[in-house]
This record gives sequence, C-alpha cells and structure tokens, in this order.
Amino acid sequence: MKTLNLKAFCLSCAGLAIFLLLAFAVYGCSTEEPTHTPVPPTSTPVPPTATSVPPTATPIPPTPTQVPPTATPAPDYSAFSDVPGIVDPINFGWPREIETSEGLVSIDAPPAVAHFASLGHAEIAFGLIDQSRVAAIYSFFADPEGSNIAEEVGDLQVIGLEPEEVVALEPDVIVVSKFTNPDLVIVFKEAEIPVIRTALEGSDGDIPNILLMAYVLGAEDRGLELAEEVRSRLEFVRQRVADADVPESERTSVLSISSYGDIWAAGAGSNVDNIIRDAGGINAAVEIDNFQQISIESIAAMNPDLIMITQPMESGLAFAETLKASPVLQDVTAIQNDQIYVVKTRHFTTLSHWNVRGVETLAKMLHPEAFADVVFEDFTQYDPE
Amino acid sequence: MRVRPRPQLHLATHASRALRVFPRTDSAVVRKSLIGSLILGILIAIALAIALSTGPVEIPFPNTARAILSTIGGETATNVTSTQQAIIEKVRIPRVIVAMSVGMALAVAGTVMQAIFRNPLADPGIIGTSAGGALGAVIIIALGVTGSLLLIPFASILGATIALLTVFAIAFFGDRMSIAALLLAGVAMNSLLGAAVSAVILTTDNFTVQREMFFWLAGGFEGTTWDSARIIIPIVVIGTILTVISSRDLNLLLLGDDEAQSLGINVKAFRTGLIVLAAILTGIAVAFAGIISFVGLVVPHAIRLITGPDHRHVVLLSALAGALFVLAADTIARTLISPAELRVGIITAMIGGPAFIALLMTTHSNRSSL
Repeated sequence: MKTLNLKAFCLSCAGLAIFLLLAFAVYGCSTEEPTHTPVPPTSTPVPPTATSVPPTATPIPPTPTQVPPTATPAPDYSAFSDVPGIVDPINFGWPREIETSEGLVSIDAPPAVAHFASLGHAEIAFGLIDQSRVAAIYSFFADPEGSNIAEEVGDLQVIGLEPEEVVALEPDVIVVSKFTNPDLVIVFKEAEIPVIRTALEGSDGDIPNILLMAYVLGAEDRGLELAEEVRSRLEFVRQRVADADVPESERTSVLSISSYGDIWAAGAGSNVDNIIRDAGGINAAVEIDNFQQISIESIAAMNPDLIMITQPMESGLAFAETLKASPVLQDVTAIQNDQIYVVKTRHFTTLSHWNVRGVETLAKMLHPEAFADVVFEDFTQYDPE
Repeated sequence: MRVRPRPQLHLATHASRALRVFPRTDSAVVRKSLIGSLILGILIAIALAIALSTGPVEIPFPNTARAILSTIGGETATNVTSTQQAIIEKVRIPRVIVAMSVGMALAVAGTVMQAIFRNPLADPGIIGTSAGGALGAVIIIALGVTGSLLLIPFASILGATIALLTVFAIAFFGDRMSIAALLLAGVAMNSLLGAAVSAVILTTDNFTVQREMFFWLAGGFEGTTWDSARIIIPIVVIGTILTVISSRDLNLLLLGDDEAQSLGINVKAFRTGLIVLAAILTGIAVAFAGIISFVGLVVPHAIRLITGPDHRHVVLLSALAGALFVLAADTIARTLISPAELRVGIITAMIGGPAFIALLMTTHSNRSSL
C-alpha cells in the first residue's frame, strides 16, 4: 500500500509538473499581444501620435486674440468676513485666531516658515507667498504630471512621510487637509506647532480656502488678488458657456476616468464633477458617488459623448488605445466619434484653484466655437516684484 | 524521517482506528459526495445564470442565452447586438470562469493546508503563501517586465512555493516537524513577506505603477479575459483532481505522522508534494485575482461542519463550494452598487465571516443538545 500510494502521488505530481511546463511553453511561445494581466502592462510602447491631441499640450501662441480677464486688485478686506474659520474678520493684526476642525489656533506673528501637508494647499501657498517660506515638500509635489508647482519647488528640501521630519523643520504653522492622518496631527500638536485643517473641496475655485490661507500666512493682499483672478476666470467661462445657450438635453455627457489596473470614474460630488458642470457638460457617471471603481461594461452602459482620461500621459495614452480597441465599447458614442482625450491630470485631480484650468480646458473642448478666440494661460505664481 | 519497524499488532491497531474514524464504506462515501455535488452543482448553475445575465448593461435573458450558445457553438446569434455579444463573450463569461477557478483553487489549497498542518487556522492568507505569491507578482510588475502573460502567474507560483517550503523547512528543523512551529513560522513569514511587498511598492519610483500594484493587491476580477481563463483552468482542474485522488491519504495524515507512516504513507514525500500543490493553487489564484481572503479558511470549515472531517467528501465539495462562493461574491461585488463596483475581497469577508460564525454556533448548539 505504501509503494502504491507514493507511486500514485509522485506520478500525479510529475504529471502536473509536465503539464505546467507544457502550458508555459505553449503560452510563452504565443505571439498574441498580452491583453490581460491583473495589471495592464505599462511599459507598452506609446504610439507617437495620440488618439486625440491633448487640448492643453500645444504651446500657447504668442499673440492671443483675446485673453480672459485677469486680476484687478482692489484691496477690500471685507471679502474675509465670509471666510469660515476666521474668528475676527476685522482683525488684520497679530496675534490672530483661526478656528477649524482642529480647534482654535492663535498665531502670534506672520509665519516665517510654514509646512503644507497636502499638494492642494501647497499649490495655493505657492500662489500666495515666496517659496523661501515653505518649509519642505514631499516628492510628489515635484512630479510634473501630477503637480502644478513642480517647476516652482526648485531646491526645496524633500522630506518623507515621517512626522518627525516635519517637526524637525520647526515650522511656525502646519496646514493639513481633511485627508491628513489624525495621528500625524496629534504628533504635530504635541510638538506645540499650530495646526490648521481646512476642507479643501476644490469647488468654485476654492476661494474661501485661498483667503483663509492668505489670512493665516499674513498675505491678505496677494490672497485677494489670487481670489479675484480665480473668480473672474471662472466667471468668464461660465458666462461664455451660458452664452452658448446649449439646451440641457443637448449638452455633452462627459466621463472622466483613469486606469491603474482597475478603472476609476469621477462621480457626483467629486471635484471633477464640479469641473464638468462648470464647463457646461453633464457628468456621465453621476449615478456614482465621488471616485469609484467601475467596469468596462459600465462605460458601455453610461454611453458618454466624450471620455476624458485623467492620469499620467504615457499610461493614459495606452489606456485610450485599450478603450478604442475594446469590442464592448464599439457602440459607445465617444468611441465612434473619436472623442477620447488624455488631459493634463494636474489640472483636474489636485484640489486647488488650479481646477479652474481644468474647467477652462474642458469648456474649450465642449464648446470650441464659444472659446475659439480665447487662449487660456496658467495661473500666476507669487512674484515678489 | 526514519521509519521504525513496528510490530504487526500496532499496525493492525492503527488500521482499525483509521477504519473507525473514516469507515471504508465506499458506496456511502460516493453517495454522500454525489448528493453534495449535485446540490452544489445546481446552486452553481443558478449562480452562473444570474451572473451572466446581470450587469451594468441590461441584456434580456433570452439574448444572454443566445449569446452564450453562440460563444459555445461559434455561430452568430440572431437578435443579439454586437455589443451584447461582446459583453457576454468577452467580459462576463471569462470573468465568471476565472472567479470560479480562483474560488476552487483557494478552497482546495485551504483544505490541503489544514489537513497537512493539522491546524484549523492554516490558510493561504495566514501562513504567508498568498503573500509569497503577491511578492513574486509585484516584483515582476515593479520591474516592468512584459512579453508574456505567464510571467506574473509564474512569479506568483514561484513566490508562493518558496514561501510555503521555507515555512515547512523552518518547522522541520531538527528530526521532527512541530505543527506549532510550522504555524508560528507561517505567521512570521506572512508578516515578513507582507513587509517586503510594502517595501517594493514604496520604493517604486513610478507613481502609476505604484497605484497599479496597490489596486492589484486589493483583489478582484476586473479586466479578466479569455487568456486568463485559458491559463488558470487547466492548472486548477488538474490540481483539484490530484487532491481528490489524495483525499484518502489526507485522512490518514490526520491520524498523526506515526500512524500514517505505519499505514503505508511516506509522510515526508506525501506532505512535501501536497505543499507544492497547495502553493501552485494559491499562486495561480493570487496571480489572477490578487489577495482574496477568507475563502481558504471558511469554505473547507463550512463543508466539514456539514459533512464531517472525511476528506473524501471535503476536498471535492470544498472545491465546488469555493467556486460557488467566489462566483456569488463577485456577482454581488459588480452589481450591488452598479455601475460602480466593490472589491470582491470585501464581499468574501462580509459574507464569509458572519456565515461561518452562524454555522459554527449552530453546529455547536446541536452537538451540545445531543
């Protein structure tokens, strides 16, 4: 019995091993392109010509026919009275108090050095103060695909995610977002560093956040300038979209997706949802909340008129090709009309006033006639001159 | 392991004990297995019908049936649009096949591990096998190596096998294997490999690849194609058949090493072979679905609570129940909040945990009342 069992088992294992080897050999020799692994291959060569030209990838012509209105600074500090978190909106001296979800914080003097735990806050800060007042950055702040301040961070010190590294910088104030780990905040507070946590929603140009941060940093005048620039640019787009007078039923349905192995869509309540509405489109993924995973079949069910891919350009172009080749999507309007765009993700995904650049980009895609005479430019950063 | 000669009297004693625990009434065994298989087969057929006809795109059931028949027969279905045909043929059918294969693989691997380690907590996800598979896969992804669909499955199987054999070698240190040491070594290996996976992800420069690895580890069947099905099916089917063939010897292994040895089992070779088999099944499941917890732990226990510990029932029925469980979980995951999807691992844990506790309490209650 012993011999019989051992033989049977060894033979079975040997059979399985031979089968596996044969299977590997057969599939390994296959010339078929890899169409599925749990993660799509990212090193697939990117075709030299994109499916559709990214609308903001072309350089801005030197002689624009019309430029949207820019800031017209008129220091009127009454704008700060509507900003949630400012305890005394007529106090522009020091100390000043701010109340956020982290409690009441008193700041004794203009912070010489501040730390920003989120990219969105850092992007706003770079529009308000000189970079010498920024304590340090995280590595992803310098990623040119995902960050709107990658060119401005210069030689600023790059730190890791360890809270001790932040404490060692001895910043005068730390600004965190609603996504920042509460345990980190506890560490910062125990080090007796004032911590301010703001919502950072990304809607309406984030003007309340801009003004709150300007107040915290003692940069009220620049805050008003930036807020006015954001407001006027957003208003300009909204007005042009309204003038285009496209009936609700004829508006373009837009699906904003990204793929990192799985497909993720921006649904109702996301900042991209605000961008789509401001640009005069309809969110095709309005049935889902915020960012959620969907399947390729869901894209067919949503049947968008335009698909907008918000992820780094190289993988985005590969994803666009995958979508175009999918037999499941051949009846989708966006595919049939070749309306797939890989956009600059940093204008759409970061929660800051830079989302207005996303609104401008998408508005021009949806209403090319209405914006034919307009060339949108990037936001101006803080300039001591 | 040295085999000491045993008196014939002892052999007879062990044999009679084995017969008492696992009676050799083959017809009864076959009947019980057949009834269980039939019930599970009907449930799988129902689950398949629901899974194939449900999704974000509404496809009438007759059209679903025509599209399935068209896929099988290779002829163009009438009254079925090209999109409907593509959704059924290219998306839903391969997905349900891979989901069932993964469930079968994890359940059989769990059954085998619990038998050879003689410990109810032995599970691919707990003793580091899944983590080994995941490490092999994330290394391939991090390196950006492409060219063959088989690279990730191969790396995953290799990682799982090395992890399991290492655990086994640690536990076998010395002359005898310690089951406690084996389990503790498995838990330690799980932590070690989990940390290694995190290290690979965190040290990857490419943020896109980093996110891909993160989402892949979370487990799921999105993007499954026929290529995935063609790779996983033969490995899982052959692995399951081998385990079913070995089920009688698995029973003897439960009596203890000495007793199994005395009854004719080359315990060391048998156990090593089974470990490799379990690692292959775990590795292939991890390669195509990421880490899906609870299946290898819950399914075999649930079957044991219903049928008893005889592996002649447990292996086959666990395989079918595992397939049913993951198929149902995946169908719920992709339809519950449609058009959005949930991670299938969330559903397996949410269904598997409470269902298992309920089954456990019911069984204990029945035993107490007897």
